Amino acid sequence: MRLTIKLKLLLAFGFVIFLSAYAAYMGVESLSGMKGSVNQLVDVSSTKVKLAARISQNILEINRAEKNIILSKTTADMDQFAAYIESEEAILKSRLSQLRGLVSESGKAKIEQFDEAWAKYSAVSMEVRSLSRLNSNIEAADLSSGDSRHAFELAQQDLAQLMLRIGGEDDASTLLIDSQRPTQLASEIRLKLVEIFSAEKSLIIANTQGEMNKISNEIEVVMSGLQNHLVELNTLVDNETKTLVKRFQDSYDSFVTTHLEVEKLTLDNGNKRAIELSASEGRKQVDIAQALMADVVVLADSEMDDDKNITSEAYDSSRNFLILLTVFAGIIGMGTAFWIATSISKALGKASDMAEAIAGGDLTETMDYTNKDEIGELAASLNKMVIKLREVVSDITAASENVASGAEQLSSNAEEMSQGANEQAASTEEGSSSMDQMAAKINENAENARETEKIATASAVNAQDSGDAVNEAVVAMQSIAKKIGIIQEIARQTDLLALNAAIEAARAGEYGRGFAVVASKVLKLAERSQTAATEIIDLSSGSVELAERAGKMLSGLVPDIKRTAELVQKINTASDEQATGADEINRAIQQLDQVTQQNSSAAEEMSATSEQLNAQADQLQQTVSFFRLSQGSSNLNSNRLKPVAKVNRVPTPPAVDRSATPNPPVGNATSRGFDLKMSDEGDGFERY
Amino acid sequence: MEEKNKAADGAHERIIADVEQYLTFRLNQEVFAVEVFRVREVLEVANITKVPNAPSYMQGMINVRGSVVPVMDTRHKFGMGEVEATLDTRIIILEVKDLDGEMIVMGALVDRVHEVTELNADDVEFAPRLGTSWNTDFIAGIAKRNGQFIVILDIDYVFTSTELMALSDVHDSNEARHLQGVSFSEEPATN
Repeated sequence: MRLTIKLKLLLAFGFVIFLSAYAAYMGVESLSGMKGSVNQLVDVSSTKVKLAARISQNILEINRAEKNIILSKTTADMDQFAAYIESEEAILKSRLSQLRGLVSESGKAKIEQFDEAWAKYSAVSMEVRSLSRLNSNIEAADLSSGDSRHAFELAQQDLAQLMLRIGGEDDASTLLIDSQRPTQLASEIRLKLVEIFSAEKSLIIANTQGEMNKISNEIEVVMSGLQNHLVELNTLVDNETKTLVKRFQDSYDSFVTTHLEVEKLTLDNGNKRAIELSASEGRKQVDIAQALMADVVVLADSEMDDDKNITSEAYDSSRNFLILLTVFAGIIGMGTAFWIATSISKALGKASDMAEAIAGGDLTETMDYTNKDEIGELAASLNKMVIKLREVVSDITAASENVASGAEQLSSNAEEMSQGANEQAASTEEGSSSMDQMAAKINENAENARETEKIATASAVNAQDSGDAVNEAVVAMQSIAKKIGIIQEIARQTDLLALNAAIEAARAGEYGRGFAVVASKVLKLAERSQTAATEIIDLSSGSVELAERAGKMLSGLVPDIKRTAELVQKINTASDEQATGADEINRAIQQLDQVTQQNSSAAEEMSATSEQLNAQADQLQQTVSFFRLSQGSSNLNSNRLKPVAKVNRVPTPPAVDRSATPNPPVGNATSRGFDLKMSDEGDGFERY
Repeated sequence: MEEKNKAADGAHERIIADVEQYLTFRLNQEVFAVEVFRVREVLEVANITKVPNAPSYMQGMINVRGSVVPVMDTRHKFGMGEVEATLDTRIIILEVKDLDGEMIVMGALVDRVHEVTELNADDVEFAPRLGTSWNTDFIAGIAKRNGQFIVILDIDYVFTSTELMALSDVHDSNEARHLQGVSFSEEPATN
């Protein structure tokens, strides 16, 4: 990987920035942790304490409401308080569940116990409330002072009337013996009635159950006694009085009924039992619950303390870590900065030294810096420059040598050229005379070709004529054949005539015999002439074929001859052109002669120029010698000059080789030139 | 019939004995001869008018100096196949006697007519008799000259024997009668 300065700086700063960022991140992280702890403290631990306190308060409220229920006289009040209890209990329940969500395991156990205690209390409280609901004592008192009193008064009135009646009878004294007895009985009844009523009051007042039972029994005895007296009275009194007794009996009965109700209510004794229960079992459970809540509060307090400790520990550790990190980042940053600055300044110093050396013409040194950064690139570029300069200087040196040697060469070549030019002039003279001869020959050729052309044209005309003649001959022969056909026809007719004549002659018998002979002769002649005609036709048809072939061949010959004539004409034209060309060549040769003479003078000028060139090359070498290519070799150019000049006397012009390699392969070629591999520590230069 | 044949045989002998001169002609490669007294003339082949419904061996009719002459295709008649007419093809005008001894003029188409020549009786042999299956009545004799046979025809029998053969065939009787009418009566001249 290429580790540039930019990269180094980037890496160093990046690392420091990364560390700072990490430190910042850690700080934020620990702060948020602490915030969480504080929130925990506020939200959970203190809430726990608060909730526990409120639950205690709720318990107290409920307890108070319960007492109020017991104390309250009317049902409406009771309902009001009961509703209050229920709402408080609901609040308590909700708070309890909230608390349950917040507390630790030990706290949960406490809450379980609290639940248990509270359930017990709730049961007791329910009982207390139901007992209170009875409200019997107060009702009994109300009934006693209301209905019961009313009934008692009615009974007393009736009894008073009865007693009055009995007293009146007494006055009448109808029954003397027993006159005292009904009055006595009525008084007794009156006494007992009052006694019952007062006993009822005392029953209401009575506190304990035992007392109540005792009073109740007493009332029972009195009532039975009263009833006995009444029955006895009834037997004693007259009928009119009996109605009064009966009236009393009725009112007494209603009183008794009311009394029995009062007694029953009193015996229920609800309020007192409720108070008792509330004060004993209810109190106990409430106390337990309160104690448990107090425990919860204590537990929450201890947890709060734990949270506080954890928070402070976290703060300590994160503070230490941040300090450590900052110190580390600082050390790293400073170290890296120092390292980078040092390396840059050192390398730049080296480069500066090297540039100074190059300015002074010293090309021997190279910069040794291997790091692959910008400085390394600079060093490489400088090295490349030095190497290139070395190459250029050595190339210039070699080139100037070559120029010098070339100038020498040029000088000798110019001389040779001058000599050659003279020879060329002589040759040109010879060429010119030869060209004259050639021109004469060409003219002769042209004349001959013209003759030939004439002959060929004449031949073509002749051949044409011959062809025409042959064609005419063919036509003639064809007409002959036709004519002979006529002859043949005639012969046939003659044959027929002769035959018929012979027949006639034969039919004529002896008279026709002579004629028959003639006829047979004629027949024979006709046959012969027919045969001859046939033969002539055969021959003539053969001749026609031959003549046609000859005609064809002749007419084929004509274009050939014409072509020959044309070709010969072309030869003629070409010969004319040749003659013109020869003239031009002749003129050119004369120009060549002039040019050759110019060349000769130019060669002499060239010789002078090459001398000048040689001097210039010397100057160039002097100039280039400013550069030192290796230790102690600054004056090598002047040493080199002499052997170069000596070598160049030898007339070898390997121009192509010289251009291909900057070292001319002349003489001891291996020792010439430079080894341009600078990495060889200048050994190549020493070899010269 | 028998008598007629015998009479014809008698005529043969008489002819051979008397006649010396014959007109020779050629059909295919065979040379035939007919007595020159029965030949009226020799003609070149000119316009032959075709006759509808004629027997197949009748070529048609020609006009010989104003008179109508039927022409027989001899090659066909002799069962020798047909050839195209050449420059040498000729019509020989013959005089044929029918059974009643009347002369009928008719033409015979031949490949070539040679000459009028004399044949010695010594050189003539009679035609061999080969039974009824091969009727040789119309051959008067066979002459030999220069190693070649010349068949001498009895021109009267050429047609008579054909007619007899036609009559012997029951199915062809009508045709034969008709044929006779066309060939040998004067009616074709009116057509």
